[in-house]
Amino acid sequence: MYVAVKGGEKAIRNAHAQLAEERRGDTGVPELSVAQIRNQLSLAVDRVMAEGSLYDPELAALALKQARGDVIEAIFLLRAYRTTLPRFAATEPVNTAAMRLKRRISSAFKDMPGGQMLGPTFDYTHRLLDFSLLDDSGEAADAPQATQADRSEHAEPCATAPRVCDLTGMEELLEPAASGESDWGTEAPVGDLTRDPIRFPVDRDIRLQNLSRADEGFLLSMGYSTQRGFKGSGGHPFAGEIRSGTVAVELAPEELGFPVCIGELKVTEAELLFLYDGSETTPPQFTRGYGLTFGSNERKTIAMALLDRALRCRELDEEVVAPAQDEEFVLSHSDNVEATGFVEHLKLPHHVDFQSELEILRRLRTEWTERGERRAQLLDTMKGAA
Amino acid sequence: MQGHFISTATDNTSIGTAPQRTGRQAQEGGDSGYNFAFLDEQTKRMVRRALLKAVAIPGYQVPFASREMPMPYGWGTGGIQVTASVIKHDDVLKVIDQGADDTTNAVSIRSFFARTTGVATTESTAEATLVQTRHRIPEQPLREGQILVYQVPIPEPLRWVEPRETETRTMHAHEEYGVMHVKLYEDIARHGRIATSFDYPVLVAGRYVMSPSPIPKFDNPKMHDSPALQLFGAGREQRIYAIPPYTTVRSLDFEDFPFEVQQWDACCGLCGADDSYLDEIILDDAGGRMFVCSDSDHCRKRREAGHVGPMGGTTQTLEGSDNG
Amino acid sequence: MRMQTILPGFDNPVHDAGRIFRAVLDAMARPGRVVSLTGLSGTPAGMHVSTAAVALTLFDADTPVCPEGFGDDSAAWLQFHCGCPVLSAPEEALFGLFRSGMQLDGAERYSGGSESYPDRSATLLVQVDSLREGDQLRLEGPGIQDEQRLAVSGLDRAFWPLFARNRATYPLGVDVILCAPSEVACLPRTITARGPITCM
Repeated sequence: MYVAVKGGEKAIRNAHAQLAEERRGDTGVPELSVAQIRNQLSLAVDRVMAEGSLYDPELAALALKQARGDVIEAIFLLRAYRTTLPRFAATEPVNTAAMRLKRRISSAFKDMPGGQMLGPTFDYTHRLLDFSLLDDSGEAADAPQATQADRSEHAEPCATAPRVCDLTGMEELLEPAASGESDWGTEAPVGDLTRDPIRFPVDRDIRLQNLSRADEGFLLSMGYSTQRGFKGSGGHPFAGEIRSGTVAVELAPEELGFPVCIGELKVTEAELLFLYDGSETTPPQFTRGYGLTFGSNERKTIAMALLDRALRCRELDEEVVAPAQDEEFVLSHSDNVEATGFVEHLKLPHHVDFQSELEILRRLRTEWTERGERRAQLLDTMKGAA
Repeated sequence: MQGHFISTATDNTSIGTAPQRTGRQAQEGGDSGYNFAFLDEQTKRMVRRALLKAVAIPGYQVPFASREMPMPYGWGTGGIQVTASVIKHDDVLKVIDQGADDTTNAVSIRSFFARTTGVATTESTAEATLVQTRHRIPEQPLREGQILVYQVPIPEPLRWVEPRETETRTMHAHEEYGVMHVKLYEDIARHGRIATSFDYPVLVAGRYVMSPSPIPKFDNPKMHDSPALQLFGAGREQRIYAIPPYTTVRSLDFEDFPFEVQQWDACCGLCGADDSYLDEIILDDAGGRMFVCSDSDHCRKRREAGHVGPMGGTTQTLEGSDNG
Repeated sequence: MRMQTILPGFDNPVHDAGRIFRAVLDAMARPGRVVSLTGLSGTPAGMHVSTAAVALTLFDADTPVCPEGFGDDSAAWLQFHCGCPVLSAPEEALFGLFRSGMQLDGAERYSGGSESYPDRSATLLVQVDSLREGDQLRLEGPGIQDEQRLAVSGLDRAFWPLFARNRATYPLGVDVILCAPSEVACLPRTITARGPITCM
């Protein structure tokens, strides 16, 4: 007896019910609150905001909870929400030179005005599991508290500092920050790949927007490939400056005529410097690669800066010899919501196409067998004749 | 200046200014609290303008600013955006996947539109004014006034010859389609026949080579001179294209190797149809199998009209089961 | 802006725009077929209901529009209801709007798109007096089974040679929506028109 499986609404409802049950897990364990996720899994929240392209820690935390910790699923949830939001206005460009710093380091300079500021970093932790965190019963009593002295150990007392790459004295050897294919004058319209489909080749604005939304793992691997030599030129990268902290977001309503602060963002910025041996028209100098993301995410920001520099090959007249320099390749495959959709859509039924392939395969196979038999016969005939 | 440089990565990234956390204001039909057909009106206008250009340039892929939809890329986001921009409240919507109305994703998309528009839905091809499809064209010939919306994964027919959009765009601009013929001819040289069995490229209105989406080539002839309007949406790849009614759609071929469609030795086990596209069903692990119509509406209509296939007598439970 | 002079737009922006778009899509898909566009209570002087309905359906901040032969109140109406940039030069416009009986020599200045992006071309809304009587045309092309007849009055005769030249640049070219007071017919760039033959 043949019974066709119908993927009815009931099956879908059941799947959703099971999903909800799995998400909640053992009801003997207290439910995780969005506030807990937001506060204690803040790096995951930051990543979801950066790749979800929406600065909203509460909703990013909610997305993580709903997605059972699947970061890409959470990013997707935030993107799908973002797409429905009306746009009221465009803010002024944020000024990262005026960032209220939490962390700021340079690997190129031993010291700099404003000083190095280590901040909350994993960099010098020993990666030993901290078994004391297993016991969460008494945490509130002796919660870790950085002392004011700890905070300012490596920092000047000031909370802001100029970006070291902007300081005078370097002009000769460092390209100006405003360099790029585009006209970076203040009136130049900035593109938006969520409002206009990408048309290659793209200018740096679209590239940076794409990379800032891109999958962290993809940028990491592609950036890594440039360090292992899969790149054009550009020399060893130096971290001119990596900083993270809080920047003001300002809006200048037409009727006011001056900007007012409407909020703050946590961001991480990386500027890498690369030795460039010059071209016919450009003298040898350090060139820049730039990275900026929402929240705390140095890994991604550094990788982004590596790729930004690699993708400046056309502008800097460098030969394209590696995948990381290939604009269409990098920018078309960087988005994890797109990528995961297409990779995972293989789960959807394809039996009509499979049937098509079966039909052609059977014919090819029959013809292949017939040809083989004919060949064998011919061989026999020839042997007989000889 | 510095600030402006930095702006590139952020000032197009919208900031979640006080999103309404407890439901949104309901608008205009449907009960989901979102706009009619989910998309906001500005997005619809953008898609609608792209659709008009697509119809005006048959077979040409119009770039459009595809939005993230509440279902993943690959699940029909392009088709869904096209349908959402086209659908009106008096439409009757049919959604199929693999030819069937009851495949999971067809059910899911149909319920999405039922929720967000409140329009009537149907499984009957004849009753529908708007049909969204993945991988099939219904067996019943479409009529004037109907719109068929295809979900498209890879809109570029030249993609398997040349992966770069920058190159393929130029090839389309200059009508450089020789490579496509070379690829098909290589098949003939190797296999004695063209081995492409689905997503078989077509030439539209004598100008643009177009991907018909991954429909089996069995369906290609239905595109030619169809009285219905055919619209194609590729969400992830951000392309929309179209075939107006009564337009020449020719499957690429050669004089000595003319285009031909699939044929089966069997007929539909349920309704006995010998001229419809058949799915092969494995019945047991002893090589037992049967063929049934991929178009579930077509098959049901035939059985209701009294047609019975060789296995039709033993399969009455088909309609009733809804096993999850 | 003199707000009190601004006439209303759609009663129901979502459903009216959806309905008008479907009619225009149908008209573009079946060139020369006349479809009815109604449902607006008032329009600026010289602007047909059909023209205004198409404008409300398709224009917005992303579509620069160039009205030709219309007064300031039309520009104000477009800016208020559609939020579209109103230009005086056609080269950058995505939509051109021609008042009834206008000479159409300027139509050639609109963008026909580029070889790589023929879709980045203008759409011209050309007002006419009637699509029921007047010059008789026979149309052929995609969307038309065999042949479609079209009658037009109030259209500059110079339009047809211009449209033939436009056809010759295919796949580049502008697309045309002929707007009679309450109905439209479309002439996409693919269409070959024979005529006009004058009928009295």
